[in-house]
Amino acid sequence: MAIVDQKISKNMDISNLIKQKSYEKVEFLLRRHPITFIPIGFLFAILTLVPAGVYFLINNIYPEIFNGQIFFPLAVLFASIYYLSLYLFFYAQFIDFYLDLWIVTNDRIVDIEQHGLFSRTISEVDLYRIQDVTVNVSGFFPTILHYGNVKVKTASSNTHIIFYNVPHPNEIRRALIELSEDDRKHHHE
Amino acid sequence: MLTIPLYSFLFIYFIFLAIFVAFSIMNFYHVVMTASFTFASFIITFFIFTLTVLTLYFTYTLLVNVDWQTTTTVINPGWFGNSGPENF
Repeated sequence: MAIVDQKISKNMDISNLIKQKSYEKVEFLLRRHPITFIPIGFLFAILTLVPAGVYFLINNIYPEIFNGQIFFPLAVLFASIYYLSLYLFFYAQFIDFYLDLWIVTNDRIVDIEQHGLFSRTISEVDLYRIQDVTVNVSGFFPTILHYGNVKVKTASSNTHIIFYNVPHPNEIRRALIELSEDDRKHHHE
Repeated sequence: MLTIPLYSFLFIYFIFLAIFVAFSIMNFYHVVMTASFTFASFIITFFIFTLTVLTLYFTYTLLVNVDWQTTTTVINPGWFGNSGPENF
């Protein structure tokens, strides 16, 4: 089962991040499907080519301009700033994508969502409080590549957790329901 | 007529570089502190780092022979008359 690939038994970093309890075992560590980052990569590739296009255009219209002792260094500095800004933008987008993390233990779900560089939301839901788990796979690529949203609703709270674009959402739904039932038994004992 | 030396733009570039380094470190700090330093994030970080080094290297190579003492005209009242920026 593919979900097993995402199972982790011991990971000290994760333990520290979620302040893992002594009896708690991390069952799943979920991130968005890598395919959902491809549009950003594609945009990055397009924007990388823009200065080459601009250079080609200007060089054809004003062939002498790049020989100017002022214009040439300014153009190089500007291009350098453009590329470095682009790398920073791409890296920040990756952080935004990759740092959205859902950790499922045998006791709770921890939802860590990164919003830009300076904003992060962390919320938790106890497994025994789970009332409903809904899977939403919508669109061509999600259907053929098996990724989608998993919405976890609880009985006692208005808050709900959504795993966005995670791989194998149906398997996750089944596993969550099983874990929830196990945890509920444990809490009734 | 207001003229400034070319190295003024180099200072602006260095200020940008300082901001770039600060934000890059902050991004990397996020990766490490959120237990996300995995093979995937290492590859992306390495990719960005390599591109940055290459960009800085090519910038240096292209600009190493530039005379930064050259002055450039920022504002010239004559521009509003019948003459243009001669250095361009």
